[in-house]
Amino acid sequence: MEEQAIAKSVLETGEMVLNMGPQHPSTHGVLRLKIHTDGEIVSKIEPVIGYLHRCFEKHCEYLSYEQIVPFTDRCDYLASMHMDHAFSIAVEKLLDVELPERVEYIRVIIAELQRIASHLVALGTFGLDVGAITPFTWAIRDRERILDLFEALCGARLLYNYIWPGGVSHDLPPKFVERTLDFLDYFDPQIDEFNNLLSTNKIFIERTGDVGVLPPDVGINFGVTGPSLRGSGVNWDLRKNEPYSIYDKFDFDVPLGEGTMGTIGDTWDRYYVRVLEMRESAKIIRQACAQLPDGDVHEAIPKKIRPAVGEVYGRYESARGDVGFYIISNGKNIPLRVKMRSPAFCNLSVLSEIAEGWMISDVIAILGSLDIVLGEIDR
Amino acid sequence: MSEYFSNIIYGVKSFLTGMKLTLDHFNNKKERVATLQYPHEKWPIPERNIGFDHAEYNLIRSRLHVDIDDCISCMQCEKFCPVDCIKIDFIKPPKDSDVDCGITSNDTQKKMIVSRFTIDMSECMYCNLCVFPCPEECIYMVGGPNAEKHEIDYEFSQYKRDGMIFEFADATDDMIRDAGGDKWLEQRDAKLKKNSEGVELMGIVPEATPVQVAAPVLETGTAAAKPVTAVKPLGGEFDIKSLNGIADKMCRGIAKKAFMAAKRAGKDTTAILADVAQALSDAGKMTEDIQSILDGLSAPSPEAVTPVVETEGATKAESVAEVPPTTEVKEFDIKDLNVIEDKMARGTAKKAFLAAKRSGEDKVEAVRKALGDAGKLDVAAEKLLNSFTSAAAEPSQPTAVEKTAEPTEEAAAESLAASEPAEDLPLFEIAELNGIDDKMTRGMAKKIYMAGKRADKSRTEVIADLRAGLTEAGKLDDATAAILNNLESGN
Repeated sequence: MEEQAIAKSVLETGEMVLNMGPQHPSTHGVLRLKIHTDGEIVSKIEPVIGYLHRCFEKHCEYLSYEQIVPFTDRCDYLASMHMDHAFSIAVEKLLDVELPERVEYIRVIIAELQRIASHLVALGTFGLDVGAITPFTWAIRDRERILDLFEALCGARLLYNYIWPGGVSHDLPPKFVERTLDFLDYFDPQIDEFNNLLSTNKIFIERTGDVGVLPPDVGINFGVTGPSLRGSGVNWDLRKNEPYSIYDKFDFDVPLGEGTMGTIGDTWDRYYVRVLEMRESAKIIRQACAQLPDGDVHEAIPKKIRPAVGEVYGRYESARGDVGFYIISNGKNIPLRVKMRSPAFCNLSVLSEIAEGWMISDVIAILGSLDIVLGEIDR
Repeated sequence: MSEYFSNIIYGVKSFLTGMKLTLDHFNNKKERVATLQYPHEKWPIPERNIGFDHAEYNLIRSRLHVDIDDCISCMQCEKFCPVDCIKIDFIKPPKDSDVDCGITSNDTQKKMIVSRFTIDMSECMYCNLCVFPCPEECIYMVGGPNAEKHEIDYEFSQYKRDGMIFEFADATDDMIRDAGGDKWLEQRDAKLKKNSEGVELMGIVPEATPVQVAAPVLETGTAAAKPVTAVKPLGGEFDIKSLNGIADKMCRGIAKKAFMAAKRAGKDTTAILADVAQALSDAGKMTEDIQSILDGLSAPSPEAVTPVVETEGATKAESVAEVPPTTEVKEFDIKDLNVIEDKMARGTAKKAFLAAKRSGEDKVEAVRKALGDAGKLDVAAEKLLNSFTSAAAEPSQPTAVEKTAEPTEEAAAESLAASEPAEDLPLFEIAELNGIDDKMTRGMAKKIYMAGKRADKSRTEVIADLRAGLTEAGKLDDATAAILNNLESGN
């Protein structure tokens, strides 16, 4: 009887809980994953978040609308322009202002440049997560050129405070359009190079193809948006489906995952959708640069932002997905309440669902393909 | 089966493609390299237009600066700052007073005196929001479009957080008092006092000079702000650095190698020197110079022992003390021996000191005896020891007060005066040259100084060299000449 008990205690295989993070190079920020494993197979993942919580929404209740913009920068710090833009769109809806056309064009150019920059980081770090170091340095090198453009534009390289409710803080600097087009000419061959180096690499495909498949219905149920959802073949892009700003004026495609290297919605598809989106963004920028009208960018900026009593929800397709700002105004220059919908938060919530049954090393790849930014999740 | 092979073929192919790309980049590394060697190379800051025309104005994100003469204390920037890093206080003079607050460069009559305008750059988020509402355009980020007003400054690291708080208000206490700001001054002083009390409450007391002697000691350094203790490394009798006197690189290398080998074998000084000499003559590199250096190391001639009173080191720890000199009792400390310049003599003295300390004998006598036995007791050492014999006597070294960390011209002269007037003045410290204002001149002077020092030139020779070199470059201005004169006369 006793022997049996000892044998049981020694031989019994139980679930092991493994902590990944909070400080881990592949968690893209301060994220802790409690991974329940059976041997090396993952049975459940509990993401523990909040390490970067800075009370963004509470801060907003004490800051005027102008002052909130730099704080939105710090939510998704890899796509700050998108955050500025999303917040500004919501406030403009509340204020009901008509924007000069030039402002809209500038915003689109900047937002698409920002999308390329953000995707470059996503792809580079994704490669880094699965062990490819060279693509990361190349991606960062190209992103640096975009940051240079932004520095010439507004002086800052990461946290811009450029897009304001009612306009943009400054007009384009001289030769900005030429430099942007130069960059695009330089960048197109770089995408091919990137594909040759990483996307079609056999080792990379083995790590990502058929891994962590996200079925479309699961994605929709969990509220996954952005490239992560489009990788599963769901044609949902706010720029097409609910065009804001002037996106309806441009001709571009919405790339979808096709299961080229495995099943539709696998990790590789989510990765490759971002590569294709960079090409589409380049397309939009070229069109916008060609049509860029003249005008005053400060025309519509209100002297004092004091919206009428009311509430508004603004949606925006950021590099990570559907960003939403829900603002309640009580007629003062300070909002009563600001609620932000974070796309990366919803995308992270699906991790446990799709990583179940895969190995620990695959969790890294799947997490990387979701392209989360903890600054936005924790805000 | 065919899938198996096509897989292998695809794998090899994609691998080779990647390698080819990498190689391609490697071959073109000159054109495609992206790395900048940071402190030496810097990323170019984008070209910008100068001016505040909104159609052309591009901004820059760097340190905030305020032209306080233009500030009308409208508080707009303080209100707009999302993180409250700007803090402004102002005093409004009473109506009947004749205080003139000045006129801004936009010809606006100022109505208040700015008594406080601090920006905590460690809190600043560089959002630039404070710049836009300013009606007088007096707050701006330096460089870029504002380069004419203030040169760019985006690398302003500090060792303490206090250094990140920039105070721009320049109103003196008298001006504030004239404008009726007595209450404000009171409040400020009360706050400062509270802050300094807080420092003490939190246990942050200024460092005391470390006391190594077990005997009762009057603590000399507690009241001082921060005694700078520049203690020389405890001198071994003979170490590898002694060989640096050998000029030829090859010879020095051989000598050092032999030194290390001998040292590892646990040999004593004489044996090490013999080994070094042997190794050098084996290599056929033994010259007269080296021979003399080695001789000097084995038995230093008495003339070589020139004591130097270190104005920077030993005296400073005492000099900053604010204890009245009459109550000061000088205790014989091992650090006091650091003023003996000759390494060998210092080693002997320290050895004797420690032995005496352990056995409880009179340390001064022990050191004197040890130095005398070794034949190294010269005038200066004697004098040093004598100063300690009469323990309660007046301090032998006059105290020099150096308040600033960076020795100004005055302080340099003062600390020189504090040095003991020896027979032939020892070579002055390189820090004395810091009094020279102009960077270029200072660099040149230091270069000449180092060359002179390496050639073992005397004080007068080095000063002569400095004069000649600087005159040749046309950089010898009055202030520099004065410094040199001071150095020459030894005070």
